[in-house]
Amino acid sequence: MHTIALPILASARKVAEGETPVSLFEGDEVPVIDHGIIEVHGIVVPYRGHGVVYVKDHKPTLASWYDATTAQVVRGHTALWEYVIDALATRGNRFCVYKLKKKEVVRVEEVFSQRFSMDVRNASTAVTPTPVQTEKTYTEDVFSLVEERKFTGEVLFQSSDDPKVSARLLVENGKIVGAKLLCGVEEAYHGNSALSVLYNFRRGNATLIAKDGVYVPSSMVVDDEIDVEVDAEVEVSEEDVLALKELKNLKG
Amino acid sequence: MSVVTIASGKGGTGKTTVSVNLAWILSSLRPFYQKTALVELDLDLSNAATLFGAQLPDDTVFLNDYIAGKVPPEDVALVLGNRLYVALGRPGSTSWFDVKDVTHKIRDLVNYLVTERDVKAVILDAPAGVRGLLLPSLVLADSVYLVTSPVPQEFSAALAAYKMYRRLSNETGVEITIKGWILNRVGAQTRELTPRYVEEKSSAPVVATIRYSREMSNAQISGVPYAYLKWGTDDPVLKDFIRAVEALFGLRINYRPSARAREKKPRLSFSTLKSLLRR
Repeated sequence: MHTIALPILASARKVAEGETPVSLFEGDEVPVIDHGIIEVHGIVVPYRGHGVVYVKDHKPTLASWYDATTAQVVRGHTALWEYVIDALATRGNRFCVYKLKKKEVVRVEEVFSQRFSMDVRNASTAVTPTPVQTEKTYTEDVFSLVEERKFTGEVLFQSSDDPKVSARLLVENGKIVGAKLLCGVEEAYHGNSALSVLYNFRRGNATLIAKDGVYVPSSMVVDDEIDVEVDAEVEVSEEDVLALKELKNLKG
Repeated sequence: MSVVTIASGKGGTGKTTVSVNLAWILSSLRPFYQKTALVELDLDLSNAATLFGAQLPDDTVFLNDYIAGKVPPEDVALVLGNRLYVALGRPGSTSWFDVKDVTHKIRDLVNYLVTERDVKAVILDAPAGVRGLLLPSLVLADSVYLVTSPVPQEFSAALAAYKMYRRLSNETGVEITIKGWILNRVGAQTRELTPRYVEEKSSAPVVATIRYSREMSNAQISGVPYAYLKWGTDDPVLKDFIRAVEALFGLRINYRPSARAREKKPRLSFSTLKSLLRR
């Protein structure tokens, strides 16, 4: 099974002949590529395996991931969001970038999609029902936006407060049930922590993809059911009340 | 001029760390360059002095001595970079203080810094919990912010403090303006509360969140504010602190990491205000 990724990489190397592959290691800045392939070598648990993302016109278009632990291959949307991006953001993993010329793109895309992977847009159907509506909007507060729309689906968010910060939110009837936040390639936050960090970066561009339902991976679950015990009646000392009354004239 | 109190439900939530870093940023940011004062009201459990460590002058006079009437206001304020005034509690002090006396003295100190030294923003670092010495920081503040980690145990204590402030305000008629929460050390634990949960339980908004960083303790060991250590860099926690300054003081800050900013930051060495005035 693990040979699946290899022919793709062989193709990539072949078409990239004459260009120097860029090897990147943790801490390096990811180069922006118009067209090309990012090859990820997952070394660190739980991202042991290999993955590739095909980038076309700056956007990830095709993706696949081979999980060495379970010896399974995941493709498209799931591979990109559940494995490859996390693997990229995990310290210790390595990746290479192969830039392609535009004329070589078609060939790679054909090889990739016909033999080994699914188009990201089609792959999303394997996870959730077909998107029914997509809307792009700028918002001053992504939390209010989600709540006001009362929609079910997915929000892809790019903060304008910090261009490094992007987030994916899974929403059910206006309630965020899943969250993942990336700060460049170095940091990732999941679930409740992702929402806390997002509070500082709530302004930006949101793409709302309405769906019939959402699948929430366990790592992204937002849990609001944590109990906090506080006595219903908080006691205040009579001494403090008297002291505060006497200090009242100092206020302001 | 605004007086902001940073409080919390229990000790160890990072209240002093937050206060110190906000004060340093506020006094360092162009084009605001706000003259800022940090007054540590945790008189018997002071740790701001520890955070500044070896940077403090040998002849540092602590707030305890000022409140005891031994020294005037200009003797107690330390100055960093001409813009940050710091008045610290004495670490390990066991003195007893009268709440009313402390309140009057702190009010006089704030008035002195505002009128004589042109300070525009005062941050009061309140004692943890609900002890009597908390009252001055509630009475003198224009706005109060509570610091907590988003974990159940800490939020439970912070929520109790929040409810107590509300109740004190209701029973005495003293206006205590709790503006909201600062969630500190976000991402340190696997089981954290969401900001929405915090807001719903308290009906006060989360105004800022600050991520957890292991490097924070390195800064404390070095005796420098974390924001100072990371100034001019693209550090995410530094940017969280800057966002918190924006939220608390209604500023819009255009911070750009640069080598120039790193080089231009003021030297971290304090002088006593008394010695500066003498010069």
